[in-house]
Amino acid sequence: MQLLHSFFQITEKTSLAEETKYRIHLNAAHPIYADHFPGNPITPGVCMIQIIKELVRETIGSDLFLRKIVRVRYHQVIDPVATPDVELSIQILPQEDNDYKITAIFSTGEQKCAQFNLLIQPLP
Amino acid sequence: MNEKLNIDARELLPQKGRFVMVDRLIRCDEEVTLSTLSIREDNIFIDNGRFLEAGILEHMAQTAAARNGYIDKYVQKGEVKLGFIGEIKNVSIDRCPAVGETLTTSVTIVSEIFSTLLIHIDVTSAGEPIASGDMKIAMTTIVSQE
Repeated sequence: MQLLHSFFQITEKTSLAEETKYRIHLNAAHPIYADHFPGNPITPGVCMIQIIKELVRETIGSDLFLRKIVRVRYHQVIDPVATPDVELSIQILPQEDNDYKITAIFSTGEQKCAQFNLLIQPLP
Repeated sequence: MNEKLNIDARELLPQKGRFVMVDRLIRCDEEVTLSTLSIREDNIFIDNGRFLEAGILEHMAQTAAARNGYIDKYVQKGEVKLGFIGEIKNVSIDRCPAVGETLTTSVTIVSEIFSTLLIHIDVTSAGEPIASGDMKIAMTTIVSQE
C-alpha cells in the first residue's frame, strides 16, 4: 500500500529545523472513501497514521516500523469532500535508542482534527 | 448475549468492501469479544507481503465495531451504526504479520460511558503477540448505509 499520489497529494511543503509543514490534498474519489463509509466519506483515522509514516519515510530515507502509538487523539472527522485541503505538521526527534519520536497534527483552517505521538524505528 | 458465535463480520460492520478488516466474530459477551482475520495478498494494507501497522490498528478498532454491530443487530434488533476511533493509547506493535497468517483478536470492555467505549485490545497470531493497547471508540447514531 502507498497512499501518496493516490489517496493524497502534497501541494505545499515547508521544512523548518525539526518540523515539516505540509498542505495535502485528499482524493475524495479514492476507493477507500467508497467503503469508509458508503454515502458518508470520512478519512479513516488509521490512514492519517499511514500518511504520517509515508512522509516521515520520505524525510528520513529509510523503511520504517511503527512500534508504538503513545497517544493519538481524534477531535474532528475529516470529510474529503467538504475539506479536501488539510494542513499537517510533523516533528521528528531522534532518540538515543534508535527510535524517532514523531509528533504530528492534522488541521483544517483553525480546527485541529487530530494529534499524534508515535515512536518509529528505521528498519535495517 | 451468546458466548460462542461464528458470524461473517461483513453483516456487522459499517465499513464495506475492501476496507473490511475482520473476517468473523467468534465470541461476544459482556466480558470479551473475539474476532479473526486471515491476512490475504489482496488486503489493501499489504506492503511487501506484510500487513501494515495501519491495518493492524484498523483490525483492532473493527473488532470493537463488530461487537457494536452485533449488539445493534442481534441484541437491540436494530440497524448497524457508524463509529469512529476517538483515541489510541499505549498501543505496542510487536511485528507486522505476513500474508498467510491468521490474527485472533480479543477486545475487553474497560468502560462504557454514554456513547464512548474504552477498550483494551490484544492481537495474536498462532498464540504469539502481534499488538496490544487501548482505544476509545465513539459510537454514533448514524445508520450504516449499503
